[in-house]
Amino acid sequence: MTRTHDPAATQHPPLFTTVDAGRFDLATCPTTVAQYWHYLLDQGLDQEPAPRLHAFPRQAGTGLRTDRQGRVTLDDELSTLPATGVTWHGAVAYCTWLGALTGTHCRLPSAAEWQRAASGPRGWRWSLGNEFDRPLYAPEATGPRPVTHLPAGPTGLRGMTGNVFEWCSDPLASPDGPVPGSRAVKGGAYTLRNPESFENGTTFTSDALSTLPYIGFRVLRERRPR
Amino acid sequence: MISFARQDLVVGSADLTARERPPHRVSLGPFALADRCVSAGDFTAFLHDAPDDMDHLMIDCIDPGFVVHRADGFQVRPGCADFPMIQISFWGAAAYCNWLSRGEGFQPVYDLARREAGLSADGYRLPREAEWEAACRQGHPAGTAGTGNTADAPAACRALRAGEAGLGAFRRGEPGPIPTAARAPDAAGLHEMIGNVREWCHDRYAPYSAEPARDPSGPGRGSFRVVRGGSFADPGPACRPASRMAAFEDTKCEVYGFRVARSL
Repeated sequence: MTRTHDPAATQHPPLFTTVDAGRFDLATCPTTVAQYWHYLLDQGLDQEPAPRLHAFPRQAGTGLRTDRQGRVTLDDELSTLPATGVTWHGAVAYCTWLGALTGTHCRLPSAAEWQRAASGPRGWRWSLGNEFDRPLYAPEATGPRPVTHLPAGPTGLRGMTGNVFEWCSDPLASPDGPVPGSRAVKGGAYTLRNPESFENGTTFTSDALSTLPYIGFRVLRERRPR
Repeated sequence: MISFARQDLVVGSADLTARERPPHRVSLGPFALADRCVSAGDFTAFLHDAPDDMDHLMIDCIDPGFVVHRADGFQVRPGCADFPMIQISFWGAAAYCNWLSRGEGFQPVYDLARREAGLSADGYRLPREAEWEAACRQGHPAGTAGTGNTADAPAACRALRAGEAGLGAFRRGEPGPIPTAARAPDAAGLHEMIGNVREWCHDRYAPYSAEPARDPSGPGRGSFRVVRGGSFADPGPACRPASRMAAFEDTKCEVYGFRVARSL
């Protein structure tokens, strides 16, 4: 895997761009391994398991892994990968932490907010246009790709379509009300193939305690003072 | 497992779609076919015993699958162990067959790294589509096709669906699977051959030839596999013993499951 230096991928706090006609700011990239590692160290979460928040594989490949003692270690050369293995609760906790640290209101986007940001001012079907560009969105891959390899759309967002799903705030809706335990994910992932799964308007859901190498998240920052 | 004797039969149909034409003669050696699909509980036992045999490209753990992946690994959702295993690719199903073979001292059929199969091995495998059709025809003699868990299933069947039972992430009122062996078996002793989940077969997909064939197993190359039996998402008339469909082998979808077979 090529290491590419891009300040946006390793910078803490993350870079934001204003989207949805100025209604909110969204991180230009999904939260990266480097950024999540910064949070783990700040909170002392690298020292012991936190199964409600995250779990990392024993094998290298996704940037963070768990050693034999249960501690989290960083594979520095993979720090520009999107942070994966983070549960919905872990993604929410990261947003809350970042907001407190930076004096802003940070949270996960709703599926509707995510969709408006991804569709952009021209209402595109996928984040970079109305054509499904398979080599760009869904190349053959066995794991996440560095977010720095992904081109930016008109509002500066990278990696909205493909690579890894992104957690959103919404619970799974049902005619009987929300189904407990599942939350929305958007954007498609390297594990999928058919273009419809990647559309801005398509929403899947996943168990909120999922720790999977194909689900990450990005932070929404509200445009109001804390 | 239900045993089927050596037999000659006509596979295919002139009355369905172009995929089933032309009907042609097939000779099959003796084989055994599982009476039901592999359940989410069965598959989770494999995942716990041999976690390194599975990677995330072979199994999809997002909703509405019955198996999730949490900090403590793969887990079956509460109350869902008897539902069919879904959202596994052809090779995910093949990995399960190999695990079953090793556990019972048989030779594994599939080489997962090379994506090849050796049908001379005595282990578990996916059924040849002709075996699947022979078994389904035996279970559903002409005029007794009956009803399965198809898109137009009767109310008593729909009531067994995961969403109606409030289990997993299938929603109430939406089509969904019913537990394996939830309904009475067919005349051959097989459960849910028609409907519920489309079943991965061993064969790569190709149009039929009119030539008679002995133990056919599909073409040697290609990445589309035959799936049989239709699903809860397919209308009943499209789910006949002779009906066949093709699926990309890396597809992981909530309408695909499988049952195991073995040469005797």
